[in-house]
Amino acid sequence: MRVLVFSSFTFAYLDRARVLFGTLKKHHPDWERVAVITDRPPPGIAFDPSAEPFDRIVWFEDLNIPRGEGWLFGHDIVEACTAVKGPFLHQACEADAADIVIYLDPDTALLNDLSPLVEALQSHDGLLTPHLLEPEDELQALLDNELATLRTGIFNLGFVAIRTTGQGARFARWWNDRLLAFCHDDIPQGLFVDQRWCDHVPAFFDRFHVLRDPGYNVASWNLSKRKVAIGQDGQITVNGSPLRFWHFTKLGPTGDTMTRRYAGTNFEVHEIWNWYKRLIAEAHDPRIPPRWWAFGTFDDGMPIRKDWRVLYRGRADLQAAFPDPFRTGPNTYHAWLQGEGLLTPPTSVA
Amino acid sequence: MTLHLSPEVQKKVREAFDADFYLAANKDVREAGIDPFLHFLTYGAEEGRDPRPDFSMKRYLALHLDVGEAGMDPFVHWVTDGRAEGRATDHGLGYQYEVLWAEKPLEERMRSMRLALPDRAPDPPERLNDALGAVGQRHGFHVTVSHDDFGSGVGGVQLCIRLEAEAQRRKDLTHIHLFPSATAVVVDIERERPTLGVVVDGVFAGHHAHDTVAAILAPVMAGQANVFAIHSLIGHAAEPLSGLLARLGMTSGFFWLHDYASLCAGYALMRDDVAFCGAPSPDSTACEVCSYGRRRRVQLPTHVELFQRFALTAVAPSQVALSLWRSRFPVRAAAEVVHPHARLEPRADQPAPKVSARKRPLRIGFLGMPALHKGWPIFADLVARFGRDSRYEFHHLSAVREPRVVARFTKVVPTPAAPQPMIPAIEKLDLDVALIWSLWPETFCIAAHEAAAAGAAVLTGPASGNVAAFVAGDASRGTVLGSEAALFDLFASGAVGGLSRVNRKPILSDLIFSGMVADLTAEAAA
Repeated sequence: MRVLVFSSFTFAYLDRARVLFGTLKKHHPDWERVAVITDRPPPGIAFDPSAEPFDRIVWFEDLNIPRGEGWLFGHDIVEACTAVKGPFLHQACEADAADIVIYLDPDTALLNDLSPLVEALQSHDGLLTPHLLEPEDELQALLDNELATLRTGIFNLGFVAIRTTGQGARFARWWNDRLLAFCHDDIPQGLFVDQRWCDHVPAFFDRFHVLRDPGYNVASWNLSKRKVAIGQDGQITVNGSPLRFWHFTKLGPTGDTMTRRYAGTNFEVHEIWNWYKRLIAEAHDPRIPPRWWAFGTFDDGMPIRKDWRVLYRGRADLQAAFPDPFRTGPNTYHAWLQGEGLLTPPTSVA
Repeated sequence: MTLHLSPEVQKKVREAFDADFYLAANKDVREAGIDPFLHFLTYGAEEGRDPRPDFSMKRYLALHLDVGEAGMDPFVHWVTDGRAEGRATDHGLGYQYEVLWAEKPLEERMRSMRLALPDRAPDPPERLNDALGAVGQRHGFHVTVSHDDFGSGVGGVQLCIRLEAEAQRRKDLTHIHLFPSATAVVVDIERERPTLGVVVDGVFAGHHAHDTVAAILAPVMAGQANVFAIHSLIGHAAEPLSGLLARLGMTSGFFWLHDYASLCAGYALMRDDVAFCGAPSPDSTACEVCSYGRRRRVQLPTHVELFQRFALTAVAPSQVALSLWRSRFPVRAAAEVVHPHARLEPRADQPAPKVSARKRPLRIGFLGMPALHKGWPIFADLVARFGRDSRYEFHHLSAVREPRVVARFTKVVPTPAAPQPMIPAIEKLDLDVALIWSLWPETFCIAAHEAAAAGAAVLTGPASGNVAAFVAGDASRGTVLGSEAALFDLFASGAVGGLSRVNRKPILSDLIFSGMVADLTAEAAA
C-alpha cells in the first residue's frame, strides 16, 4: 500500500513542518512525505531541501492553478495555505501518486504510528476527525468549542485521509473545485477556508468515516473531554486509547492559556507541550523573519491589506486588467489602488 | 529602572510587600544591607524578584497577558487593581504544572554548566605524585568514583564514600577518589578534554587527565590488593574512565545503586521531574516525550558497557532498589547484594517518657533539601493548608531554607565535629512527625532512619520506595498512607495527632552505619 502524507505551509512554519515530518519519518519511514509550500525562501537563506525531513517539495507554482499568482493574490496566508490542499489532493489522485493520501497540518506531530488509518481505509474511502466527540458541559467550554466549531466547521481539516480511488477521488475533485473558488475566511457568508465545506461530507460521501478514536487530533479544543495518561509501561493514552497525533495549535501565550483552561491538572498534557516546544526550538531557523511570507507584500515590499485582496478576488475586471497584481509601477493593481485613493498603509496585513 | 509610584500607591505597595521574605530570598540584598523595599522598587521589580512568598512576578504576567501588554509592573497591578478584581496569583493547577511551566530544558541547563565550567588545564602531575608519596606503603588501594568531591558535599552519597574510605583505611588500603573536574547532571559525552579531580586519603591532589592518573597510579598499584567502587558515573566521561580502571589492572569491582542513574539520565526516575516513570523501554513514547529521554539513550548504554567490561557486583542499599533495578537493567550484574547503609540500634539509656504539662501543637518536620522528588511540594501544600491551624506546628530542618514556605526553619549542616546533626536536631525540637513523602522510590533514605532514631514518626506515601518498606516493616516507625488525599484527610480530621510522641512513647535509637563496600571485601592480610 503506497501512502503519501503531505502538509501545506510557508517558511514561517518551516520549524513546525520539520517537527511533523521528523515524527512521520520516525514512525513511517516508508511513507512518502511531501511539503506543499506556498512561499519563496526569504532573501539570503540558502534553503537546502535535501537536508529537510521531507522527500519532495511541491511549490505553489507546481500546482498550475489557473491564473496562478492572480488567484493567489486573492487569498491571505491562511486561505492560500488551506486552498492549495484541494489541488494537491486532487492531482495526487489523478496522477495515481499513491493508494492513500493523508493530509496533516504542519502544527501536528505524531506520538505513535498511524497504521490503524491504513486499516480503516480498507473499508472506507475517507476519514475525518471532528473537533469534538462529546458535548461540552460548561458554558465557557460550550462558547469556546461547541459554538466556535458551528462557525468554523464540525471537522478539523488539520487531518484528512483518503483512498485515491472511488469516493476518495470524488471527494478530492469536489474539494479542489470548491477551494479554488471559495476558500475564504468569511464566516458571515458561511465560509471558513477549507473547513466548513467538509460539513457536507457525511451527506455527500457515504463511504467516508468519522474517526471517533480520541487518540487522533488531540487539541486544546477537545481537551475538556480527553484525559491524557502516561503509564509506567511507557504508553501515552487518551481516554484509554493510544495517543496517535496531537494538534499543537496556537504555539505561544494564547495557546498556553487555552491549554491551561482545558487541561487543568492533567499535567501530562503540559509534558507533551514541553516536548513539542523543545523540538520547535531545535528546528527553528532564526534567520527566517517572523511572519515571513513572500506573497504578503507587493514587489516593492509594501504589505498587502486584506481588503485589497478581497476587492481583487471579487472583481473580474480588475483580475483581467491586472493579471500580475503583486507588481508595482505604472499600469498595475498597486497603481490603480493609489489612483482610487485606497492605498493607505495597512494597520494589519495578511 | 526604578518604579516611580505616587505616594499613595507606594504606601499600598509597601504594605503588601514582605520585607522578611525578600531578605530571606535575596542573599545579595541581605548582605548589602540595603532597605529591601527600596531595592525592590529600584532593581528587584525590573529583575523579576518576587515581593512576597505567595506572589510570583513571572507567574502573574503569564496568567494575565494584558498586564504585560500594558507595560505594568505585575505586583503594582495586583496591589492597585488585580487584588480587588479577584485576579489569580496562582495557576491553581498543582505543583506538577508549576514545575513544567518553569522547566528549563536539560540540554540548556547542561550548556550553561559547560559554559560556566569550561575544560580546565590539568595541574602539574607532581601534585598527585607528592600526595601519593605522603601516604607511604600500604596493603593496597581502594578507588572510588562519584559525581563530586565527597569531602565538600553534604549528601548521603558523600557520607557513604567517607564511611567506606574510613573502613577501608582500617584495612590498610589507601583511598583514591576520582570525580569529574566539572560538575554535571548526566554522564558526560561533550567535553573534549575531560579531567578528573583526585583525592588521596582525604587530601585533594589536583585535576589531571585520565592518562596522567593512569600513568602515575598504575605502577604504584601494581601487584597490590586493590578494590574499586563506583558510587556514581554522573559527570564522568565513561570511556576514558573505564580505560583508566582497566589500566590500573581492575577487572572486578562494586557498583552502588544509590539512585537509578544507571537506568536513566533522570537519576530519580521522575519523568520530566514531575512523576515516577517506572523506567519503561527507552524507545517508549513516555521516554520520547520526557526531557531526560534523549540522554537516557546515552546514559543507559554507557552503564551497560561498564557492566560488560568489568565484573561488577551491584550493591543496593535496599531490596526495593535492587528489585526495581534488576527488573529494568538490560544485563545481569556479576553478583548482587543488598547492603543497607545503616541500621537502628536502640539506645541503652532511654530518656524518661515526657509528660506534657500542657497540650502543645503536633510538630511536623521536613528533613533535608527542599527538593521535589523528596516530596517538598506535598509538605508545602500541607503548610499552606494547615499552617495557621493551632493543632499543628511545621518545621523545616535543612542546610537550605525555602522562604516561600512558611515553616519554622532550623539550619542543620553536617560539620567534621558533628557529622550527623539531624538526629540531635530532631530531638531538640521534639518533632513528633517527619513527613518523608518521597515521590520516587528511595533506595535507602537516611533521613527516614534519622527520624526513627530520634523518635519521630515517619509519615510517607505509597511510592516512596524504601521509606515505605522501612515503615511497613515496623509499625512503631510511622505510617504509610495510600494517597495524598489520605494525608490531607489525616490532618483535617486531626487523626494525625495519634502520632504524637506522648501517644507513641518512642524508643530512641542510634544509627549505626555500615562499612559499605569494606564489609563486602576480604579482610586484608596482616
